[in-house]
Amino acid sequence: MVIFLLRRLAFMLATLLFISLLIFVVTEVLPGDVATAILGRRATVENLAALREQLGLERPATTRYVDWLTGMLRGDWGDSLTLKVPIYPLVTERLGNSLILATLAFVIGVPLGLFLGIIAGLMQDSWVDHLISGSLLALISIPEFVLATTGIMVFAYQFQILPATSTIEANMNWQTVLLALILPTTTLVLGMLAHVGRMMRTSIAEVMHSQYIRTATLKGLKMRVVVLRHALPNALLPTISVIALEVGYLLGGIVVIENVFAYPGLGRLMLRGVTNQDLPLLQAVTLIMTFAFMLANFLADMVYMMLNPRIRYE
Amino acid sequence: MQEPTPTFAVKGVSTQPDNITQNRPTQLSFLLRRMLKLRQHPAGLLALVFIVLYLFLAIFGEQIAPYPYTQQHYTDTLKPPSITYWFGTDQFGRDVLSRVIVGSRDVLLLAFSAISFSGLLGLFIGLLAGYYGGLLDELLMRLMDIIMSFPALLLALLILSVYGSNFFNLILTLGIVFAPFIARVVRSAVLDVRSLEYIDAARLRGEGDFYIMTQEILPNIIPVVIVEFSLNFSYTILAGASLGFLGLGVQPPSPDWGLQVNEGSLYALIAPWVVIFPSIAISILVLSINVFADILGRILVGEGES
Repeated sequence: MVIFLLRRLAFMLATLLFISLLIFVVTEVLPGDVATAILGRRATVENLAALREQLGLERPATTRYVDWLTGMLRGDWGDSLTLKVPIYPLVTERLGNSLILATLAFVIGVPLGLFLGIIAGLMQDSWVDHLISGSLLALISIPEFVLATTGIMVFAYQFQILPATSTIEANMNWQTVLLALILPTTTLVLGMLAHVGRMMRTSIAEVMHSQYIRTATLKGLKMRVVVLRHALPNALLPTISVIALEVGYLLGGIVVIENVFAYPGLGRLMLRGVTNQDLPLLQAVTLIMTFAFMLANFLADMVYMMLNPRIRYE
Repeated sequence: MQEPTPTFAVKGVSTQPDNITQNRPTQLSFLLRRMLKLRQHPAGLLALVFIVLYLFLAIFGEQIAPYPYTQQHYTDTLKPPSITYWFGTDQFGRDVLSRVIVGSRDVLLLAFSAISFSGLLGLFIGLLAGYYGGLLDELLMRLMDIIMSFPALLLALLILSVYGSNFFNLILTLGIVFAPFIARVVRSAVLDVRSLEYIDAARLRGEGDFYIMTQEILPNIIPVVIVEFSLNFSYTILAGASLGFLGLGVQPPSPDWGLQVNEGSLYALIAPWVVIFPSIAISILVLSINVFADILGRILVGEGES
């Protein structure tokens, strides 16, 4: 088990290295010259040279990559091109805000999705199942930005009970912050629970048809015991992999949601980097968010392993 | 030709004596016969009707739309739905109905091109990795893992912000982002088929690798591929719309639905119809495709080979 942990960790680090390389290649090497790309039509000989100087583009790509990577590791993430401030404190502050939002959505969305999925799976083909499955299918079909803008139009504009924007600041009291968090969190939760619920429904329905569940039922165990002790541990396994992938969806969703609600998190920072072509900022934010995604996958593997004693990793 | 026809023969297909090679159903007729099972699924049929309707609007939209989608009625900005403008007008006085109709063209064209690209890419990689196995398999799949370890939307944003957003780049980006999902499914389907005896037989006949991959393996995994395509099609639409909403998708004055919601959200307080109608349009489209893909999966893959 320790060996597996170490191997998995080593693999994660290797992937992270590749990812950092990929981010660097995509943003700095492939387009030929970043300075021309950033300035576009505004490019003149002087400001091209100035920007190249500022970005350190006269150095070879390998040197720049090594410098960038060691800088990231040391916490020296360079300065944002447009905001003119150091990136590290900026990103860590926004990361905290995004984590609040993501954690809330995860902690509410996953159990709710599991619960709905289990109910639907156990009552397969009943009207309850049709109602839940239908709603979940509808939910995965509606884009997050539609859910978010609809939420604003209904609860902020029509009934005026929730704020339309969720700009939170340090000096706000907790009631205001909580109120501001409701709409963005709900939007993310709806997306999460739909994906998790659908997977859970499929796998629990499948497990309930298996021989050993029939045996457990026939030997007179209570329904509750059959489901909780026998069916659930097995049905959870495929769902866990889906939950890990869901974190990727959550991170994409965060970019959209934070921008709809003007929430000061990483997603909003990223879009700022995108629209202003602020490459150092963009690189840092992408690397951090991808790292978070990988960490989630790693944790999911750990949980998977703990729930599945017979698993063999070669 | 008045001889009694055997019960299993299809009218007009063959009046010749039974012959195994001639009666063997072609891949297409096999698929079509499976598709006929769709009749037992009213939800799937309804979804198909909607999809065909959207396709129709995508092709003939500009002829059907009551106004040109870029025409600005300066005296009628942000007007609510009425007899003249069924879905109201936007901030430039453009007819929302016309823009929603023509928008289906932009949305479907982008999603279809992107899914075709990622489908071909995924199919190619999945076939190679599954068929040859070994080091090539390991290399290709690790590469797919790396692409998949990026949250999809983030990778797309990163690429588009550097290379700029135009139709070609969007197809390329969405294609690369979604190809690994298809490649993985294709690979595992190929692995299932590869060890079957008829593949050994083909190899003993001396067929080349390319022939075996395209003529022997591919037809057998087509059902899986179709289902995976249709699922990823809806993801591609959602991703394209999200990019449009974030301002990195199809650029103005395109009537792309995501873009419309983005532009309209500034006026949502006084003119909600600018946001509501494109929102409904995209949700119904994606829902139809999801329902259809769901039922296609049950028909083509779920019910087995019987």
